[in-house]
Amino acid sequence: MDGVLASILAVIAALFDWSRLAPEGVAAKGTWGTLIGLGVLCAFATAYQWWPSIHPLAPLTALFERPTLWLYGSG
Amino acid sequence: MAQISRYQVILMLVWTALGTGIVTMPGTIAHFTVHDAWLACPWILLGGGLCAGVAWIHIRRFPGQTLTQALHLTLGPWIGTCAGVWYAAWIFVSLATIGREVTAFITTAVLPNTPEFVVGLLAIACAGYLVYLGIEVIGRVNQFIMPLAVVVAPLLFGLALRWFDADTFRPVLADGWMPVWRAGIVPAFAYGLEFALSLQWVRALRTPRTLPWDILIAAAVSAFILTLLVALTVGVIGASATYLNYPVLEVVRSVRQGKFIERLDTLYVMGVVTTLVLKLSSFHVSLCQALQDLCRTRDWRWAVFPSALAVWSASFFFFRNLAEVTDFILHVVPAYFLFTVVLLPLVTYAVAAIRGKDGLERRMGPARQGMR
Repeated sequence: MDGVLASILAVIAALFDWSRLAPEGVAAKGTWGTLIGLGVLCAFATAYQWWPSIHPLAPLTALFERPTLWLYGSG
Repeated sequence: MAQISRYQVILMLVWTALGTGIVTMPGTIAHFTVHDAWLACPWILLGGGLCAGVAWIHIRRFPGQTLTQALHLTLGPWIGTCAGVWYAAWIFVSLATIGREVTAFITTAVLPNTPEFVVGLLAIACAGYLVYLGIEVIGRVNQFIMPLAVVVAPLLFGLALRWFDADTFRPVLADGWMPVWRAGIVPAFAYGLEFALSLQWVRALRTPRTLPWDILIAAAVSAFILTLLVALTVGVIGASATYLNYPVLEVVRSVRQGKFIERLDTLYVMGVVTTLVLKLSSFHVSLCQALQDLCRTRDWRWAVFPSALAVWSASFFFFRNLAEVTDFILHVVPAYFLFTVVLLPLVTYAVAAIRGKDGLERRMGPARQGMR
């Protein structure tokens, strides 16, 4: 479901006419930013669907779980 | 650029901490202690104090610059951009967490049959629209909400006082200070450090030099309100606060006067949803300004729609349910926030101090032209 949602969002973003909202020169960055951001999200979502054990926030958990336990006084 | 007053900054900061703090903090504190839960709330002052210290250095070393601009100016185009991306990612992950908390709260409390995707879309769209209108509009909405909160909140919680039992708090500190410290970790290092978000608003502040004091005032107000709220929650529902996701909601649901005044939780949910949307918009505007600094564009409104879409999607993608959100807040957020909003800026200011004033000013000239 997450992968499907991210894909739909990417399509909506690609079809969106940025020139209506963004000032001149910024429109291209908005479009590319959206496509790249949602592309990354879509890739993450698809990977998550196939390998559910790999959580998108796993790197943060790996980095900060032990220091947080140390803050609790039980690290 | 539209500017916001000190009063608006303080209100924005207070609702930033209390927006989700009111909803989830009594529950997370009760994980560790019930008798002494009220003693854990003032720890938010520790986070507020750290943020005020960071802001004090920032305002003196980088007047008129946001934190992402300071990172770029001090650490150079490569490391500075990477640090800026890390900071923007911190705001993004925080936004996704808040977004998931909002949808979980609304669907649990009032709209159990509505798909969470729809609720999340509506909440993030409201916040996105506020952001698109600008930071001054967000400040004014915060001002508008304040009188309503001042009237409605004491009324709601005052009516619940008839069930209050002071014996719940005795014996005080029976298990020592350790459970209180553990319960204070989330208020101090998760909610307290959210005040650092204001470093992204520096360009819009009418009086940037007072920002450290504003953060301290907001932290003191938040600590006072949270202490009252947690004391009331524990006094009314007792030890069952440990097992409830939304203990404050249960306190409000307990209000019943005669056969006429009951189910006042609707008022509570309306107020909380409003403050949650304000919190979302405060984080969202900071994310858009970080993206503006990273992409070096003149305006940040182009980032509102794409980032809102990404946050909406990520909030469900990162957290499947409320248990995952709570676990993330309890076990990852404290160290993550401490590293990102305290250690990273302090290292940056230390590097800036070593490089000296001349080196920075040489960089500031062309950078200011590109970023404004």
